Amino acid sequence: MTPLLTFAQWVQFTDWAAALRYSAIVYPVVLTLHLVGIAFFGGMVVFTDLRLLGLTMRRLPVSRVIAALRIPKHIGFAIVAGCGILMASSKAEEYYYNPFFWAKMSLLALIAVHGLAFRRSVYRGQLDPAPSQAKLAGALSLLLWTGVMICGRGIGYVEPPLEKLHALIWQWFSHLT
Amino acid sequence: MIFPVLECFHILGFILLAGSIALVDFRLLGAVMRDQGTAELSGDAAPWTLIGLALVLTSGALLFSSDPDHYYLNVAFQFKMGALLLALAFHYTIHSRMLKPGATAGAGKLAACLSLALWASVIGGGIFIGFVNGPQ
Repeated sequence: MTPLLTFAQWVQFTDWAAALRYSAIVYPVVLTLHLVGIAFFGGMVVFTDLRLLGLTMRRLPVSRVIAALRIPKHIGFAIVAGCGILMASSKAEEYYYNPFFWAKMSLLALIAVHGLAFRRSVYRGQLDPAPSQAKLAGALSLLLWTGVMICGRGIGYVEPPLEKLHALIWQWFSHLT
Repeated sequence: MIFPVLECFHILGFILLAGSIALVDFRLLGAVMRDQGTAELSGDAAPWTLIGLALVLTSGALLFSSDPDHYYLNVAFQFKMGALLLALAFHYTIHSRMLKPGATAGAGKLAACLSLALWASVIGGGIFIGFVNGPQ
């Protein structure tokens, strides 16, 4: 077994992760917070991207809009990611086998790369970014975040047959001893 | 395959709808873009609110049509529809009045909090549809 799977099983079977998984109220409340955060603060990401594309608030310089929405974006990300980590922990072993979960994590990693790649030319530049650079950054950001949303919805549609997997591992293990 | 695709359009729609309204609400609360007028900012947000609304209503009606009885009898769905009607009525009446000259800052803040709470309730109601069992 990989260390990552061992870790996932350990997290999932901690008392608080199990309690969250089996709670008929807390789990949907955390999921609601996750989605309310996405709606309210994801909206700030969308408006930053729309301004980068020149589709809204054109009377304001791009750099002003980026700066004005930076803090709400960061607060929102903390809330959404916090709820996400809680939910992923409660089903860590299932998610280990879930391709949508890994696709979502990969896209989030790409978003970090995207932010770094356009850091100087768009997001933290001294001057207003060149329109072509701004449009490229905005379009890529919208595309990546849409991908994250689609994969996030996809996670719920995959249910790995854990009983069968456990039986297989058990079989393999007893074969060795 | 169609159902999850519709769900994605529904999510995209409510991000535009609630996100554009939240932007104006955060401004009413004085949390963002304090150098911009609330009326101006709501002018920027309004077309995206309408696009989002068109997306959620279309995708929502199609999702509903996949199993009308199931939704109609679901308590969370009933709650969501009530909250949605309230949120929309509030948005296009009292909330929009707060953006006109003459509205006090205090009233604007109260309206912003109510608006955020109403839209959060709509989203919460939607999530709970999948967790509440209707009559069998």
